[in-house]
Amino acid sequence: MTEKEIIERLKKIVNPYVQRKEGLENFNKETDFLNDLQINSANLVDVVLDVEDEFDIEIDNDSMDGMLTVGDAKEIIETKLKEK
Amino acid sequence: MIGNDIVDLKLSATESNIYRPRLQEKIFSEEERVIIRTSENPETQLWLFWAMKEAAYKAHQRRFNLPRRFNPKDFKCRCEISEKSELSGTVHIQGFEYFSSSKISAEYIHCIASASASAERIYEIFSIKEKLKKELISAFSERYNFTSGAVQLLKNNYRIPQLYCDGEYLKHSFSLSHHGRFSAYVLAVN
Repeated sequence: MTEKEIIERLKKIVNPYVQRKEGLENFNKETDFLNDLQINSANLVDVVLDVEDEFDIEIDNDSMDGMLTVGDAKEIIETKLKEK
Repeated sequence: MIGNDIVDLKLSATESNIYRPRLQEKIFSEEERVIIRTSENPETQLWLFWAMKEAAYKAHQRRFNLPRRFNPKDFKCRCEISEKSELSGTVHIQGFEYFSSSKISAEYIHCIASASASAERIYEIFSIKEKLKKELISAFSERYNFTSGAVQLLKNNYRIPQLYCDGEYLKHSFSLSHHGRFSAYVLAVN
């Protein structure tokens, strides 16, 4: 899976939780889930669960811990996909 | 150092499905999940624990100037059984203890967490988000005899808001929170 594909799939996943839709216009690795997209922190758990389902991976708490930007999520997904 | 968190219970009910499979396991310890499950009102208990974790996270982050992390499960909550309107509890994170005091109404849960059990503070809850920063500045200015026009809120590199007067950093601990229809500030006073 290419980086671009992962980011596109992430964009679809986060969409229902985004409270600041302008943040989606320039959706890239630097996009911050809380600051740029204003996803509320409780919904960040839903994002983690959706990512697990979409990519069929398990995100442990240590990985979830650092999942604050699109780039963080992308790297965690890549690592977990390699481990499969 | 102090932190707070407010949860609009009506909004939470629509924003989150707390019974989504695996959701509670990501956030709460086994012990916390048992308390939630056996509670008379599992939703309220769950959001109380969540607010305690968020408030303690903010106090902990401010205390040690920590970068942001998303590790709710590392914050272990304990509540005391109480008939009072303010529910006290503790939150433990990596060997540190925070003392929490929570107010639960039918509409919201507001929790304040502090590193010191006896810390004095003032707080207010509002139903209009826009007022929050202004109200904090005016409460602060009144308490410490500042001209409120000279007091400003600026965010540091970890996006934690801090108080300044005429450009000078003021080392007072406070926290702001908003969710849905509600917002609240807490200010440590001494």
